[in-house]
Amino acid sequence: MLRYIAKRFVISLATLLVLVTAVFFLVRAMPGDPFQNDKLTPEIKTNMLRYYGFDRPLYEQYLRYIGNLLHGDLGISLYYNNIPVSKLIQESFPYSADLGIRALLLAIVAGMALGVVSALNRGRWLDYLCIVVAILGVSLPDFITGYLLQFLFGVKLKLFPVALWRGFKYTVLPTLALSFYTTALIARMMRASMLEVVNQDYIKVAKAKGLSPFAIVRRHQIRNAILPIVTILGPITAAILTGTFVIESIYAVPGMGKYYVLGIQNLDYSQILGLTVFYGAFLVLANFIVDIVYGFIDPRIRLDRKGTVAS
Amino acid sequence: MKDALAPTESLDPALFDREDHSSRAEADRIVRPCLSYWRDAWLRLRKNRVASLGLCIIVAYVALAIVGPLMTPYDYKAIDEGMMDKGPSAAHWFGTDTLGRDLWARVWVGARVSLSIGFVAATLNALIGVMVGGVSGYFGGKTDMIAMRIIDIVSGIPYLIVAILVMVVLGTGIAPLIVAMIIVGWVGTARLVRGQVLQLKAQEYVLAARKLGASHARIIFRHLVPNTMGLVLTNLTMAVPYAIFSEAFLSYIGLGIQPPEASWGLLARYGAQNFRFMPWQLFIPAIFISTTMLSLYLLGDGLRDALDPRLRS
Amino acid sequence: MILAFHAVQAKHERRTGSAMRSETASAADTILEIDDLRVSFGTYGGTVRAVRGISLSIRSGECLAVVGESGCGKSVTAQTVMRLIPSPPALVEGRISFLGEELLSLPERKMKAVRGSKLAMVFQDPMTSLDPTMPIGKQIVEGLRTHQRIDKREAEARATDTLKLVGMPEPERQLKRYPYELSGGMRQRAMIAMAMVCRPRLLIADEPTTALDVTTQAQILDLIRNLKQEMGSAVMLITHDMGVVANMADRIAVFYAGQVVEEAPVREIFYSPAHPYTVALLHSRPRLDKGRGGELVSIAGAPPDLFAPPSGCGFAPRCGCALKVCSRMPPPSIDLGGGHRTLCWLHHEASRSRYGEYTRERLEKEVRIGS
Repeated sequence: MLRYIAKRFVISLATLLVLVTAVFFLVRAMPGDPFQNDKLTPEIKTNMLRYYGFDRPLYEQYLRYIGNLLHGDLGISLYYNNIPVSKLIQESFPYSADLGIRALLLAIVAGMALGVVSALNRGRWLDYLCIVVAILGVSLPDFITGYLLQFLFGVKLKLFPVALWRGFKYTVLPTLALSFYTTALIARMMRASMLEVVNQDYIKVAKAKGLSPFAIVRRHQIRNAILPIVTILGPITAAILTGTFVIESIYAVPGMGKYYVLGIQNLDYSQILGLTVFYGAFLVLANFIVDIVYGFIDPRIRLDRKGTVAS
Repeated sequence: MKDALAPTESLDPALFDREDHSSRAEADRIVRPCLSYWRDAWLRLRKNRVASLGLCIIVAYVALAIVGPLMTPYDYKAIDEGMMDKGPSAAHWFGTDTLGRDLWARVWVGARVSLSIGFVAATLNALIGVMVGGVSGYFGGKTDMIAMRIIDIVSGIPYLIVAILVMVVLGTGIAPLIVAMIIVGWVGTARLVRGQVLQLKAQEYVLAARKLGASHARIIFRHLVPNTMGLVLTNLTMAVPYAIFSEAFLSYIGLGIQPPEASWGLLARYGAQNFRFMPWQLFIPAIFISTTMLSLYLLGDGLRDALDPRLRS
Repeated sequence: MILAFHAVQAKHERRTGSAMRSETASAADTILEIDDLRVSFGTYGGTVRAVRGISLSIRSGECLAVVGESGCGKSVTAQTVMRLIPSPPALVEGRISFLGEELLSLPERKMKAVRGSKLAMVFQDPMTSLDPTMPIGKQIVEGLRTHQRIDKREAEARATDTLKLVGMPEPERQLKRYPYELSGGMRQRAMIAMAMVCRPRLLIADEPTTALDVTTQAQILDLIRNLKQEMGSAVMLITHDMGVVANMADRIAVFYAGQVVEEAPVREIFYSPAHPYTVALLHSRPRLDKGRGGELVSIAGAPPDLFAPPSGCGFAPRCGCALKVCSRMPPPSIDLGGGHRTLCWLHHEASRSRYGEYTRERLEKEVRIGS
């Protein structure tokens, strides 16, 4: 187990390094000189020079860059009056995290439930309903779902507020919109996984032992079906995270995604890069955590065995 | 000794003559007709009504993408200040946008862009993936280890983040879009192909071919690649909708296609701005994006079922 | 072949301490009776008639070996007895009576009580038959607690005892092991423990040794035989390997294309087989005593397509002794005495009066075995 964790840790670190280095070189590849922009005051220019160190040799710039990162200095936003990116993050990330976690939990719970129900009722109308919902979910991009829900439930039916983030009622629509795609994904996977498990010999054996169908599902089927789902939790977190960009814009949630999109539209390079590093690092961390969780669940990894041991 | 069954009628003694087994080949004949793998898969796909529907829709969209803009007199770029933000009508089947441009024409020109980007990006990803995965799986050893490390690291980097980054640097337009999508997108196929090749490599016919003196290239192309095709094809069908989605997403946040060109994502973006009062400007491109992705998923599901050898009777 | 059989049979008799069970053993002894069982499946290629009218019985404490090649219906029969095959889409007709109860019409809730406790099954591949995410101890305990109200500690003790019984070293430690941590032979022992923990009256073993290497095979078969004696369970041993049978079985039923073509006490099958297929099967075994350079013997041709089963005898196209009637009319079941019956026109009165009796030697010559 420890060997496994160490391995994943090293890879995560390497990924992070690659990402950060890529960002570093991309700064220098920007079309034109980012400093030619007349919106920049001399003060900002000096700050940026200090941060990026353009007048120093390349390797020194790189080291200084890494050093900055380790100190939590992610650069400065050009359009927000010189505010450090890290401060932007501090203010807005909690909202994004809140939204993201709600969506993630909803997706996992609803997705698994849908998948299980669907698989257990295979071929009947309940199954078809779940399949249709799931396929719709993966086909609708989040910006479409976001507007759709806003329009239907917010504007027309006036059931929920359409914007901002001031209380539980406000969280409903954005969370639903954000989780839709991921719920559908998990549901589809869970259904496929359950159906594959049900054809396995050990399920037949469980029946031959006299177990009731309910016990079989609970004790054998679901446990085995969950394994593949855990492996996609990493990409799912990424999907939810990128979804926040769009959903926060649509619902005017004061989260980080909003700043990211605005930064892109304003071509605020500094802000974009700083936020990118943060997002990237966050996802690498999330993947690492998922890897560890998977290590605990799969007994083969937990006990550090690789395949059969002759005894 | 007695018979367990008393015959209800007396049996014709001629029946007890020897049987004539003149053609020995009879017994060895395989009793049911054999279908080739691909024909069998095609038949099964056709039987799958939902997947066939998906296929028809895609074909219809492609056809419309080609002839659609020719079906109205309006040029997709032509601005008409008298006809701004009009709803669907006899003259403008999908209505007009804020600058009075005909939306029908723009939707179908956009279809050309979105669909071609989707297919091209997904195909390039598949090609790169097959090459990397195939070579890595086949040669094994050090090559494989390095390739796997690279794949591990690259897949840890969030796809859209990288795409955004690349677009910021390269600017907007079709080419940068495609580059952005393939930089990280090939990883999935590579993993898949590598796994498949590793499995196939262990089979006897590969060993036999090598003993008979086949070169590496021959083995890879004649034996291993055709056997992974099914898997790659299914993966491809699932990758196209994701590519279309990526294009839509990137255009939506302003990084992809720029006006006055058109793409479905771009149309959605500008449609979203007028969403409250002219919802069709958003919903029409949205419906096309969704139905395209839906059809491709259904087709992909159908293909996967059709190509799965375990489901053959 | 016969010499080898003699030696084995003598050993078998010394072990059981009895001669072959006489045919006058009372019917009250019968624990399983299958009567004209037919099973068909609708697939998208058509309807498969997997089992076409088989009748069998097993007496208390005896071992019936069911022998036949792949696809002949033996596994389907076994799973139908356990009612493991979902019944639409499968169509099951006939009667199965176990310990006096009609299994086919039993409500599911009562069937659950029978499965695992009085009637148990061991499957072919122990790797895929055990849940990979659960330690084997838990899997055994699960079966036990489903049928008996005992607490966990007691159940674990019983499980440990059963593991000891099946010959697992260090049974207390093995309880916590996961399936992939054990070797093939160990896993199969665990499977057997799981099946035997409730002391079933009948154990169905579906090719229990096919997935194992030869030495382990012998060990597992020994184990099954010992358990049979200790617990007094009857065994239905399904296999495609005639050699396995010689040491274990009291009676043998030979399956072909969904029917029982011959059924007899084990001695009769080896010394005086009556059905051409049985003779061919006996002769197609690779023989160690023939020395090098001999050809491997196989039965030419292939089993009939069960989507469209033939109207006559299924073996007729491959049989060198076939008569015209064989491919036109289904052969009747012929009782040859001594608990020996066969499904073959050659032993019908009309054929016998014309061609004489078909002894083993004659069959061997005429059935036309060989590639």
